[in-house]
Amino acid sequence: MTDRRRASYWITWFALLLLAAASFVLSTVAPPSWGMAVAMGVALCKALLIVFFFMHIARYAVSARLTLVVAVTLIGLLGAFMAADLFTRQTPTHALRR
Amino acid sequence: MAEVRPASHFASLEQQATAARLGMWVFMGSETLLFAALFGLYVAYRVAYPDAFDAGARETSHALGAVNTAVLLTSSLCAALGVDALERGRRWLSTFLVGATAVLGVVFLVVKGLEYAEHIRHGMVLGGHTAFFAEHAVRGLPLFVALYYAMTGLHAAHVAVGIAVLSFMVVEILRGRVREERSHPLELGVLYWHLVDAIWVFLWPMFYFSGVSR
Repeated sequence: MTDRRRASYWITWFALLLLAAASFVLSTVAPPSWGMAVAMGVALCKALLIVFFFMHIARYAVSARLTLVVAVTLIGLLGAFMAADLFTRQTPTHALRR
Repeated sequence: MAEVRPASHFASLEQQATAARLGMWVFMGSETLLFAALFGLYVAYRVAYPDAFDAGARETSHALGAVNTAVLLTSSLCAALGVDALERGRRWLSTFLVGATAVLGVVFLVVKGLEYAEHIRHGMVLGGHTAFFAEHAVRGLPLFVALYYAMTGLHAAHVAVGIAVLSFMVVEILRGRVREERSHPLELGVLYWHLVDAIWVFLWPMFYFSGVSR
């Protein structure tokens, strides 16, 4: 069991470095318009690898996992309300640049 | 070696470890929300001033950012292996791996410090009143600079705390107070370190990528 766990750590580390390298290369060729969105998507994949394989979230009690669910839900609410503000305000934010 | 016993208000060591784990996850949830608020601020200002954020990101060192990312990811591997080694009773190996994690954290801070020194030398400082801002006349650039220092500085402070925690764990492992039967203090310190790593994987593209391809 512990041998498999150690192997999973090395594989996760290798995958994280590969994703970081891919993200780095992409950032030098992709235009900022969609390159940033892809880079953040890759970052989310890396964060999930860390949470699932290094932090072993699945091994913890439901009460502990619930704290992560609450945090993610609150971040989702923050994002939703921010998006609602940015896209519906009377003076659009992008107009401030003029 | 002293017998491992739970604190007086816990019925067993397992109950104490379970309570400590729950407390750690609650703490990490609150830390995540702290950074989430700053991420929200970043998105709002990036939408308002995309040109300034692209111009600002061109001033940060793409190479040093990548080096620091590799350093933190590798430190997380060492930390995870350190907990595994302690749970197998290999105390010296665990001490070495946890110590290596702390050293990599110091490397991260040194590289970050070199970056800050370079920015200050170029006048990329808070306030927006230096020649740097006159040369890069982009509206909103001081906001990028402020967010850059606030978010990477807060993250660096977390790295410093993580180094202190892991260094303390090294001492505790050597003293035998953290060992195979009572490994949860190290497990929790390492959880914190992984959180710090996970936050950096988002900060890296936010402050180093936009505008690089132009």
